[in-house]
Amino acid sequence: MSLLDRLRTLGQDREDLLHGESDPFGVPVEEVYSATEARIGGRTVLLAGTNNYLGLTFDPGCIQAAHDALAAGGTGTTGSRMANGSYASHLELERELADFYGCRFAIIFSAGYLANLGMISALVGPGDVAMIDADCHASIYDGCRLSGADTLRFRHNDPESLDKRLGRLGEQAARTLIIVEGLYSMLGDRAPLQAIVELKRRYGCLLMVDEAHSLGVLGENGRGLAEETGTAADVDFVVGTFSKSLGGVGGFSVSDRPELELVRYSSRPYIFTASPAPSVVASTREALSILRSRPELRERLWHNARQLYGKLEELGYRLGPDVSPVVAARLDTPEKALALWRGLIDEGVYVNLMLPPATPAGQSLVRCSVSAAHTPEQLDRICEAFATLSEQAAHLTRRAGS
Amino acid sequence: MAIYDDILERLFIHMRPLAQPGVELNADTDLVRTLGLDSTTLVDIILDVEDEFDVSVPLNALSDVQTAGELATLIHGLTEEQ
Repeated sequence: MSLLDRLRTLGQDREDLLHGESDPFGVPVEEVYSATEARIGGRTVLLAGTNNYLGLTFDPGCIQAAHDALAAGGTGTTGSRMANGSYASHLELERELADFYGCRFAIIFSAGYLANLGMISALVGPGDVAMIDADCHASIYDGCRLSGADTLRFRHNDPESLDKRLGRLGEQAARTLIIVEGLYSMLGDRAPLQAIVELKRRYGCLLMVDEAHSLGVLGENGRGLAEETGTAADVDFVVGTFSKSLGGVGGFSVSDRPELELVRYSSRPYIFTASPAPSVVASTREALSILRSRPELRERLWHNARQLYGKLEELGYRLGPDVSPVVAARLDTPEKALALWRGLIDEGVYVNLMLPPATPAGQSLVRCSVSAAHTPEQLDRICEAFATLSEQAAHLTRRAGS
Repeated sequence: MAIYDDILERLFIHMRPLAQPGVELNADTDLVRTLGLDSTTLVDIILDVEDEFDVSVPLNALSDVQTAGELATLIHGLTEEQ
C-alpha cells in the first residue's frame, strides 16, 4: 500500500456513492442573502441546515460591530496571544462570557474545535482517564487523543454504562474527566445531566459539558443544558462555540475553577494558534449581548423547532428522540439518505447529509437545523418539500416501510 | 477470569454479521482490510465486549491492534490486570 492509497480509497468510496453527481459535502454556495437564504446552483435556496439557531449572522448590530472593529483593529491579530498579546476586546469577551455564565473565569479559543482540543489536552494527560459519551463530537475524540490520557467510552446517554466503567476504574476514578454534550449535534438529544452529575459526585470525577449546540438554545437564560437541568454548580468546565447561536467563529470555556487560567500556559491549541480577529470578537460580543437581551429569539426558535419536528413526525419520518432545533430524519442506507438530500435540494431546501462513520451507530441522516429567523412561510416550504418527497418515495422514508 | 479463546470466540460472534459471506474468521483476520470495519464499528463492538468481560478497553490502546487475535490479546491482558 503506497502512501496515498488511503486517500485514493476514500476517493473511490465517494465515487461509488455519488456516481459522478454533485457532491453534498461542501456544496458551492454562490452567495448568502440572509440567515435563511442563499444562492446555490444559480437559484435561491432555503437554508435549513446551518446551525444558525438564533439567526444572528446578518443582524445589523453584529455587522456594524464587526465593521467598526475591522476599521479600528485591523483584519487579524497575526499571531497567538502568547506571542502578540491579548487585545482589549479578547479580555472583554472573556469577562462577558464569565459574567453570562456566572463563573469567575473564561478563556476563548480561535475555533470551537480548538476549544475542545485545548481544554481536554490541558485537563488530562498520560495516567489520567477521559470518560466520554460514545456519541461525542470528533473534536472531543481528537482532544482525548492529543491528551495522551486513557480514553474510555460509555454508551450514549446511558448512566448505567457510565457507572459500570467508573466502577472498574477504582482509585483512578479520581483522575477522571467525564465529557458529555448538552445537545448532541446529530440527533438533537440531550445528555441525562442530573444522573451524570450524581455519578460524578459519587466517584469524585471532574465533569466537562460541551454546550456547543445548546448555548442560546436551552435554559431560561440560554446558557445551555446545565442551566436547564439546574446542574451548573456541578459542571466543572463548560465548553462552547461562537459559530452556532452567536454567528461567528471561535470557542470558549468557562469555569469557577482558577485552574482554567493556567490552561493558557499548557494548551497547545491555545498557544500555537492565531487569536480571534477583532471583527469576529466584536460580532460575537454583540451577539452574546443580543442572546441575553432578546429571549424572544429563543422562544421563536423553539416554536419553529416544534413545528418542523411535529410535521416530519406526522409525515412518518423516523426522527431523533427529543424535540429540538436539530431535526434529523433517519434513513436505512446512505443511498436513501442521499436520495432524500438530493430531492430536498431540488425542492430548494438545503439541509445536511450525515453518513457513517461520522454518525452514531452507523446511521444515515438527513439533518435539519431550525433557526429563529425562519419565517412561518419558510417553515411551511421546508415541510412541503419533505411532504412531497415522502409521497414520492414512501418506501424509502416511511416508518411502515423500514 | 476470561481466557483468550473465550474472548476470541465472543469477538467472532460480534464480527460475523459484519463479515462478507465466505470470509473466514480466525485470529489472523485483519479487522480493517479483511472485515472492512471502520473505527466507529470497531469501538461499538468493543462497547459490547467490555461489558461481557467486565473490562474497559482504552481507545488509545487500539492503535496497535490490526487483527482479531491482537484485539483478543489486548482484552485478555486487561482482564488479567484486574
